[in-house]
Amino acid sequence: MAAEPAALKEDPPAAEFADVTYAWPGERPVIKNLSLSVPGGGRLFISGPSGCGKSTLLSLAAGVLIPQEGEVRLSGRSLRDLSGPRRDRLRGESVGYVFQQFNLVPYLTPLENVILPCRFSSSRRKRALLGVKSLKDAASGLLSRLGIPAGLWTKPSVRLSVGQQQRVAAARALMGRPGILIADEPTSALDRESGRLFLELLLKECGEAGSGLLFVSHDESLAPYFSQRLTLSPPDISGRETS
Amino acid sequence: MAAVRDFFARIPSLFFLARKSAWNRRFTLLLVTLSISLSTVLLVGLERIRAQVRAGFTQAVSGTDLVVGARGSPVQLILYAVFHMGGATNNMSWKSAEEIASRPEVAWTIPLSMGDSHRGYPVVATNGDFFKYFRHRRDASLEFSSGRAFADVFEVVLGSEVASRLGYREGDPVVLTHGGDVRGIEHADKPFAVVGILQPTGSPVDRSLYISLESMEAIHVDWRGGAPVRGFVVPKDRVRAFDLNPKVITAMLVGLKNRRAVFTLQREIQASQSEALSAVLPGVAMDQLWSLVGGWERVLILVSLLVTFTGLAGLSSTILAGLGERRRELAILRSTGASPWDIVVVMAAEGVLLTFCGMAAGLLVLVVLILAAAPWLLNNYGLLISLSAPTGNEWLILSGILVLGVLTSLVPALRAYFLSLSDGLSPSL
Ligand SMILES: Nc1ncnc2c1ncn2[C@@H]1O[C@H](COP(=O)(O)OP(=O)(O)OP(=O)(O)O)[C@@H](O)[C@H]1O
Ligand SMILES: [Mg+2]
Repeated sequence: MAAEPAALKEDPPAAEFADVTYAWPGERPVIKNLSLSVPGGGRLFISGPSGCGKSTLLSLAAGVLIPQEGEVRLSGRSLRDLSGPRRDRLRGESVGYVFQQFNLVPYLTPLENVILPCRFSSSRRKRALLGVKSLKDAASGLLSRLGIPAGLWTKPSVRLSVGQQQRVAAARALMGRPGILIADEPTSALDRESGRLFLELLLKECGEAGSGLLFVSHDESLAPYFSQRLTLSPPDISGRETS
Repeated sequence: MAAVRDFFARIPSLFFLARKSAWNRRFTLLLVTLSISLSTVLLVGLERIRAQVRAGFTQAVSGTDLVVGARGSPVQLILYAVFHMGGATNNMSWKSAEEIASRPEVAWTIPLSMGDSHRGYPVVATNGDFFKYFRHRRDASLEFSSGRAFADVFEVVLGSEVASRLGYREGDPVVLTHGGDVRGIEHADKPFAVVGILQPTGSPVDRSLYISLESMEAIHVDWRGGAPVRGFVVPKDRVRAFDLNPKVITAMLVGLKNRRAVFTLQREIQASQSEALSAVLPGVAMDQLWSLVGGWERVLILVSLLVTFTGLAGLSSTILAGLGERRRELAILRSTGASPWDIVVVMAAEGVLLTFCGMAAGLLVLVVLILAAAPWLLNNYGLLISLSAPTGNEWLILSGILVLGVLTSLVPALRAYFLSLSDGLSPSL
């Protein structure tokens, strides 16, 4: 009883999986009885062979997929009880997402891309506006901290190099300080050095924003940057079935 | 409820995305927009022409309360008294005409005598009251574009189309032909002089020649029973020696002081003991006539509807075709917090914006077309098309196009909805 108030004081984990099982329609489960917990500001490195379900896991964390069994919680809120639009809203509010590549909406400028999450979520907008005059200022701040030259901010997004596009995507994901940042192999389209640089920037900004990080990569040399790691086993059918 | 409010708060953002996306693919979408403009031009333009043709037709004698002639079918009476088509089988006496004109409830009368023609255009004999009292298009009176009304025998006033088609100007000689056939006998010995040309009216007046009743008598003084009397020729300068007062006319237009008297007068004229007469309310008969000749309306409407459906089908299929390469974009939008319904709105909004732009461009083209072609249409086809705010029917058409545009836009939008649901954040490309 005495431990209760202390536990309540602590922030809930940024992302939490409790005994989660997910199978794509008509297929064997790719995620089976998975439990994990990333505390606020925590960093989780996820690796595993191709097809083992890393991207699937991230979709579960983002509330785009719903597990058949178990529960996913973002900042203590269970996604299971939410309707589809509510889950979308929660994602807009508390998740920043970075894809492997082709992250930017082609018809929006880098600046407009960074502001995009604030168009869908009002609480994200409110948080982005803390301490700055406008969303544009907030976005500009992030873009310059991530090393995008100001001359490119209002150019067509497709003119940016792959590395620049990834950094704009990171800025977008960080906009409005989401509780958790999800990145699916964001460095795999970059060379080793740029990848390392990108990760360092990302970690720095995540730390500043207080966001947790779920990071998928094949590059084991990046693992030491993280406080936690999860290695998914290969989609070995017999092995997964029996274990 | 909060979710609904939230959704509406996002609508401006969703339209912003739709606008950006459409502009980004403007060259692909230009063709679709053009076909919607074409539909708008066709539908609204044809409706305007149809309404004007109808107005020109049914309002050809708008001020007239009764058309009187020898007893016969009402439609036939209207055909020759208003449109100068076909011949009257019987005439009415001048005495009856004078009797009706002198009634207290009658404000004015216009006597009409038909039968001759000039190069296929009907010649109508009447008197000065025609220029004074004749009304078309609700309340428009006749105006001269040059010259004046006839004041003497052998003077002729031309409708605008007659003058422009045959290239006549004031002072030109005109020889009338007996009967309505161009191969009829010419009144070559008694040529007329053009003294006036009327402004275009968009009514049968444009296609007629007007002479005085006395002129009509004058060219026929040496005729009996529809043919020249053999061996009896009255030279032009001698006709005044004869009694040129009309004895019979073909029909008469009657205007009343008070419209409410029309049914009483109609009954009294038809019951007249001295002569068997018909009195017809032109409005009713003209509507009947219109329903006979107005079949082309439906063909036009059908054709323009087909064009519209083709245009909108093009809109829907162009957006659908572009959907494949946009699945990644949909995943990005989902990842930043868009729900599948937001995707529906973005996709549908794109179609709606295109429909809107197409319609606006179409209306603009229509304005230019009307400004440029109105004088030509009036001169060549007697069509009086004017620039004005859209009419009730036209608003209906415009909103119809918009509604259809929204509905067809929903096809790619719903496809995007299902794609986005199944793809989630990882589109299988
Ligand atoms: N949209 C989908 N529909 C059906 N099955 C899918 C879908 N996406 C992934 N899968 C299946 O789920 C399994 C895991 O795929 P996932 O993309 O999560 O793997 P991954 O670990 O991210 O692989 P990679 O390293 O190649 O990105 C695969 O067998 C894949 O075929
Ligand atoms: Mg993957």
